[in-house]
Amino acid sequence: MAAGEKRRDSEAAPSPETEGAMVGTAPETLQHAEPTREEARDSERSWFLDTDTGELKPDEPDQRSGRDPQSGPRAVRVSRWTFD
Amino acid sequence: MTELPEDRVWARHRRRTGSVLIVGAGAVGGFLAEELARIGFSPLRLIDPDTLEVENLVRHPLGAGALGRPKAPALAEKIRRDFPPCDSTGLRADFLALPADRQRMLVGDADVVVAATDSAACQRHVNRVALSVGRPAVYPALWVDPRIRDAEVGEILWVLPGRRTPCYECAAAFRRAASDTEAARGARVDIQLVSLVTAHVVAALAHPGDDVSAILDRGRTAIYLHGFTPTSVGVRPVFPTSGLSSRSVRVPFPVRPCAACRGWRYVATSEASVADEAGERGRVERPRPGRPSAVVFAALLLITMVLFIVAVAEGSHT
Repeated sequence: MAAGEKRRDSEAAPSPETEGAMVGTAPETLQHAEPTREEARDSERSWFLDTDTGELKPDEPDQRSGRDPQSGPRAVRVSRWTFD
Repeated sequence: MTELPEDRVWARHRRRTGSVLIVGAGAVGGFLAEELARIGFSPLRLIDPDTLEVENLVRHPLGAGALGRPKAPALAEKIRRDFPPCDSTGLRADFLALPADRQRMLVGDADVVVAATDSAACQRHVNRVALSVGRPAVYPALWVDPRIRDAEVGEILWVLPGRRTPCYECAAAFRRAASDTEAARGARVDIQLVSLVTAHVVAALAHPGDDVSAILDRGRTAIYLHGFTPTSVGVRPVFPTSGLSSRSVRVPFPVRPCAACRGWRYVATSEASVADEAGERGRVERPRPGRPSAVVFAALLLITMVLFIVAVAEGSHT
């Protein structure tokens, strides 16, 4: 992918209505070849598994770093189903 | 050819020995077995109740010549034929349907157990047996989710018995209500990544004193893999850069005692509680390990003193 190619990803989060959609049909999206500063910081972030909600959440609260917690990454729901 | 010169077989790779039980000889378990054989593990014991179907061919190590054959015995035979140094056997059976003593024997004979099935119930049961027998266990899987591509994300949980780490039930409690799903989608090129990483984890667990064990962080016992595919939006916060990457994630003990391992967040082994505390630092304050028992002791002491004073007072009146 060319470095200057624009990002065309959708910012809309998947809705619960997609639960019944066919698996493996996530839309094609493109990303920049080089990570942004925020992406590089996010790649160093540590996570923990909230086993009550089934979500991956940032392990270190942003209050400690002085950042607004609302600006941090959102939780990522872990897949409910797995297969071999 | 059945006899190969050992010094030549292992001339380019230091053999790591040990026995492994693999419950589930599907796509993940199948490639895992082939990798473990070549790493040096022997014997390998495979268990799977299914036969090889046409739909399996795109992602299974067995080829069309094995169609209709039970996966576990056929794969074990293939490993023995292709790599004679490995003593592999396959059992066509449902692990859940085996007698309890047979389950314990199979697990007890292994240095490491791998549960690579598509049944949450089987995964949980293997977890309980491994805990009761005292064997480390690994639980590889791939996500099935409409938000992501087929086999885009892999998941590997690993467990040490004795509450040294959270167990499978600690980590997968949120899946209890989910339906079991059959092995469905995903190409071999993506699934094999999970098998390869699982093989590394098995080797590390089997050889804790080896340098290979450095890949494991006891404070982070869940490994999530993203394959070499474009990253779907739904998982981009965890995998912000495109392509191949992995995350080792902390799994806390549950707030209430786990039904399987009895581990819980406030009374755990010292090592696990230290790891859990390290991750909990800065979060909502919670009692340190040992404080609840101190409070209980103080309360009992106070009650005893009150009863003693009352008894003395009553005695002085008589």
